[in-house]
Amino acid sequence: MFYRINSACVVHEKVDTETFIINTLNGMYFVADGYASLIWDAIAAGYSVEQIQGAFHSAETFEDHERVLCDFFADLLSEELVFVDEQGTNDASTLSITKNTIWGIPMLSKHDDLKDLVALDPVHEVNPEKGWPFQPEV
Amino acid sequence: MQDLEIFDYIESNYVIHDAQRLLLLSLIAVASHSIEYFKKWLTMIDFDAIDSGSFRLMPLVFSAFQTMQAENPYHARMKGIYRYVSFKHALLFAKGRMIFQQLTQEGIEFILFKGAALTLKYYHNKAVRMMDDMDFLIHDKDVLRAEEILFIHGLAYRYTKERRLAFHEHSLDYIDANENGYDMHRYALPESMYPGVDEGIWARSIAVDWNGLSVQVMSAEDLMLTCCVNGVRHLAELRYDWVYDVITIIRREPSIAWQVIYEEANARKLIQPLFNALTIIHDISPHTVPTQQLYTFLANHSAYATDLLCTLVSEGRSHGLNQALIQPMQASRKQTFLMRTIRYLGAVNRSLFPGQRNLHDQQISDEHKPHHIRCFYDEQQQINLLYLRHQYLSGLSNLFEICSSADVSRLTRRYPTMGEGYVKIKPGCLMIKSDSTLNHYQAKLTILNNPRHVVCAPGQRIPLQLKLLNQGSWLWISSRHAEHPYGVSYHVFYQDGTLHTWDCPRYYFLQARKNYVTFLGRQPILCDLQIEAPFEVGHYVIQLDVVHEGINWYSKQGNAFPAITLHVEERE
Repeated sequence: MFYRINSACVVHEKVDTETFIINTLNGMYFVADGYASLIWDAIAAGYSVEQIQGAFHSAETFEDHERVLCDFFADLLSEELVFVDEQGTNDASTLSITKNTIWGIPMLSKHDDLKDLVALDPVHEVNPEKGWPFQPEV
Repeated sequence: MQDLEIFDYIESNYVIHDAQRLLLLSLIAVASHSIEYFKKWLTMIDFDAIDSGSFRLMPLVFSAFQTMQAENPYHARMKGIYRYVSFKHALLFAKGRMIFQQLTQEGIEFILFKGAALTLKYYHNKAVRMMDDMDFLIHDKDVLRAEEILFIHGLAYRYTKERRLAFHEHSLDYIDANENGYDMHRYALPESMYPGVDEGIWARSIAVDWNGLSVQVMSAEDLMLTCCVNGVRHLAELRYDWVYDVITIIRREPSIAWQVIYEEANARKLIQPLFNALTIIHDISPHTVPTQQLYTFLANHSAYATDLLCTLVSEGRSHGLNQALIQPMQASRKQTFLMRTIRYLGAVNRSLFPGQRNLHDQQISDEHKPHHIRCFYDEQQQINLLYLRHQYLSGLSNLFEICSSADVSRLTRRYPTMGEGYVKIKPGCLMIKSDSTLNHYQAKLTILNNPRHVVCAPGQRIPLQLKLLNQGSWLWISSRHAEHPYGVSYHVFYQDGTLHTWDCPRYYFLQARKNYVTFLGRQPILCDLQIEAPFEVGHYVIQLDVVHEGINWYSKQGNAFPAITLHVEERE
């Protein structure tokens, strides 16, 4: 099975180890960091779900990787960032993931209050360690 | 260029601060140097107090230096700004594409310009070139049809009905529920609004691909002109990020039809702002706009070149002129320097610009002009040379911080009291004065052009010509370090005396210039101030005032200035 990025309404860009993903239809903003960014890259490159699962299994990245990845894919689907492509084919080479001990399990950081996001001053009203859209920790 | 040998060099009139300069250089220099500029910039800035021009360059800067996370203490916040712009622009462009697609389907012609056009044509990455809205030019006949389409896409007019009536002639601002802005222009530039003025822009526009949608954008030349004119419109609060846009255009295009730019600027009477902008770019990147280009500009605009010479001479800024040509006049003591200059420049004018109006026809007068002293610096950034009128020597202690008054006294004795020229300074002897509170705040303001009672429409702008006289015993001084400029402004009161608006736009009459100390003593200066009428109908009092920005209002120091009564009435 394949997931495809919903390119009609999704804009995404990778910077450092993170990918930010924007749903331009509803103004939702997502940050996928670490493994989450790698999975997004793999989907964008056309790898199948089985290939992604296999790569994480081989790398022994985290426990219960099958369930964690299923949860992550479910988030992507429910946010309409990707759609299922049952007929897809893949000519890509083998997917390889390298274990990173600093990264946690893949998660989608969701920022959904568009009006608040835009109103936030990106110089002063943000967490200085993370930057916009992360607000200062109280 | 032989004909313009009177110009030794041409310098920018305006100040781009050291940190701003470093930021621009970090973006335009070759890789090895750009990193050094960026690192130096990091040591100079207070990120919490970053100016608006630098802020607008942050996505570009982050994009260029994102691998330098370890050396950049502001990496996370810069990345955040990049994310912020990426997010806002993703929504702006997504909605914009739908709108422009429908305009195309309905046969409504439009031309994108400013940020949207620059992004599609040059930057390509939608996150790097910050913009507040998408600007597009449209034919006047299509405005209502286009507006209907904007409404269909959930847009609404951004401001009040009154503001729309006041400013609809140039452009109309629309926003959607997510604050995405779209600025529909009847005319490309507010300085030139008359039927047919944009015909050349329409004819020169070119098609670019926007993910399968073909849209028209301004030509490189018209983008440059609009960038320059918009960029220098508010020189007192110069936001300099446009400089990078123009440099990018010039570098990306195989060639620029400069003659087209000159002719368009000439037709719109925008020669002066264009020249100001080009000198600023030349100052930052002499390879992009070389001196030769400025000479060519002046050769193409002889009347402006003459005006420029007059201004330089009358304001004491003639150090950039060929001294061998200037000095014979200074040697003679039979006439005043100014009269000799007029005579000399008249001869120069006739030889340089045959058939053009003569400098004798122009008024060269230092009346109503600020005085200037040009400072030159050594490698340690200490003043080692001045160019000035010798009469200013006796006042150096008022104009600079003095380390050795004996050294300054020697200077005063060594030079004549008339004429002008270079004066060597022992490094460390003089320093630029920092801003300080004056002991006396006394000034007189006279309205030259207007009646005291004005009837106008909501939001209407009323131009005032003012004569301002410093009656205090201290000089008004402005320099590159001036953070507290002097300006004229006004306050708006209701008829019953209660305050409507205290802080209104300023006209800073003592423009800080790069490498200059500019000052005014007890001589009058002319100022142009635009009053903006309130948007609500009613009776108001406009109280003029003088401000030492951030320090004092002259009215609070016992000065009384003229007031204007304003009757704002509804207009159809």
